[in-house]
Amino acid sequence: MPVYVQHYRLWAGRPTPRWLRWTVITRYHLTQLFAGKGRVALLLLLLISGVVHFLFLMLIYINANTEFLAVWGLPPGQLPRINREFFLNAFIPQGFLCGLLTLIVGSGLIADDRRDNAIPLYLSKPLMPLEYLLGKFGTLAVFLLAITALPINALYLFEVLTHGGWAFVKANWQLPLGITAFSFLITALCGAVILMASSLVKKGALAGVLVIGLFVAHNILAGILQDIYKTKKLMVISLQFDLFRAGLWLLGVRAADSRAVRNIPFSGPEALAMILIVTVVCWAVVWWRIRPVEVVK
Amino acid sequence: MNAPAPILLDDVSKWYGDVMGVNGISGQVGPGVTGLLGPNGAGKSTLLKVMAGLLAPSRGRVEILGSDPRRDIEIHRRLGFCHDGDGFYDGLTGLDFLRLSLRLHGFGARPARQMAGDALEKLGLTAEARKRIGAYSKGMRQRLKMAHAIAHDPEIVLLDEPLAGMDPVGRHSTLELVRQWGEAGRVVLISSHILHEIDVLTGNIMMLSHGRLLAEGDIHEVRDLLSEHPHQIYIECANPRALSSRLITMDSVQKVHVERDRPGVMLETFQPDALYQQLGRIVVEEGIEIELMTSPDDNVQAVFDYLTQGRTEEGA
Repeated sequence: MPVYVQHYRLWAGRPTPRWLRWTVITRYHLTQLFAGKGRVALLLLLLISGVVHFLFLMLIYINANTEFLAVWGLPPGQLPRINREFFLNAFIPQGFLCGLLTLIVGSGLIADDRRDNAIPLYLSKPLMPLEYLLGKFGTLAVFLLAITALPINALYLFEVLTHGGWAFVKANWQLPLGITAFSFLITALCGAVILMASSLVKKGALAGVLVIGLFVAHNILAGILQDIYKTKKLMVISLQFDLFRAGLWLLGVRAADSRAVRNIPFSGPEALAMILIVTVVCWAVVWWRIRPVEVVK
Repeated sequence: MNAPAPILLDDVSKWYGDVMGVNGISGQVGPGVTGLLGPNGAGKSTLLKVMAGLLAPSRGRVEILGSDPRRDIEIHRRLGFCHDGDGFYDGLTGLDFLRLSLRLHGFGARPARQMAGDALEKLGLTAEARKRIGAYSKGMRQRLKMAHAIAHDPEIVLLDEPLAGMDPVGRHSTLELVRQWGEAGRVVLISSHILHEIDVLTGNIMMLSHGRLLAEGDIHEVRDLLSEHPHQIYIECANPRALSSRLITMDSVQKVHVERDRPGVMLETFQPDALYQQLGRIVVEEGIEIELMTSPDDNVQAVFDYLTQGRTEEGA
């Protein structure tokens, strides 16, 4: 056909910003999760998380209004003090919920793409493997940050507005940073572990089983090694201790204020280093597994 | 000065460990439809994946519109790839699947909806647009893959065995669509191991066998270059014996054979152009009415057979 009758012209519209393109994947997964069968479990977990935060909120409120204790006939001394450890304690029930959410949301993120042979569909677009992973990680991060960083920082704000005031801010100005950093640390670790498991299998359920297995196995290993070498220092192998210790450090809980700090025989930076090593190794495995074409040798 | 070809391959090789995918392929693909031909395992899919930037070549260089598709990610906005695998989200509707794809290509919500609808319409899937992909037949899934490859209106379209699993009507309409894309000025590279499918679509071919490029270019020009094989010409007429007696006296004719089961003559020649000129004269002088004239070995299958004959014999 002569050139003058060839009517093909490239689309002249303006594309969406490149740096936001990965959010398409996150939004897609969020829509699918709330449209799928698992939405009841998701909503239930989010509801439980909300109830737990409400209880912490009530504790702050009652601390600010101790006359309520008199109404119920309770002594004021039984109330927990609103200090840095209080905010770390707010993470503990959320940590359990984070684990469940990670399993529900994260296990199929890559495994389903591998099962459906959908990875080439993403990587034949103007999308780098890193952006693909960011989109997947973003899905989990939305949930985990929604039950950690967001509500616990809101608790901090509530304490400042109802009770602590400027004096509390002055004494704990770095606490919101610590809460945010700790939330991101939990999210990064959970995301790395579940995405690694998800990238190794082709069924989401298997990824979940793999993560539970790894969790149980590494804690058993930590216990055995402690018994063999007769040192509690080897608790550093257990990621849940590492997370707790890193949380104490990031939220600035001092040894003088917390028995937990004194009981764990390794420092915050050591715990943080251990978590970072595991996170980096998991991400490296994920990176190695994300290939647009699976080569069967 | 000529503009550089939209697809340029320079000594492209790809090995999977010890297994060779493609080896030392150089060539270029220009606007219009080009057939990428070869039997199963010839390296067609590997070559297309290398072109689409999904596989890194072990050696050599691929340029798509002047860019390396593995480095210049934005080039994928101008490149559509219909891969051989069946990669879909069965829970999504065809429309939602294309919208997701278009959003990943960088289109806003509104143009994505519009373009997804247009692509489904072009492939005749409008009625099934809101059905879950899991409920699609094999042929519908193939058409959806094609819609996915062209929904973002790319300049270059790479189609890996797009006709596999389609019914005859679907094949016909798909080939017609591919022809239209080529005529519109797009660069379309379509692979198939069924050679006659491509024969009816284009004369422009790249022929692969055992990971190597056997031939590239216009099929008739490639055929002419095969000088060791005489051209076969079949002429159908009312009086084949009279025609054959004249043909045998011509220097340009190597061999003449009167067909038993049909009223015609099969001849072999190394000089087809000279023969056609002389044939015109004979027809006028003898008053022979020619009803049909074809070249049975001037097609993709015959050229492929000639090209692989030596290789097979060497192998044996």
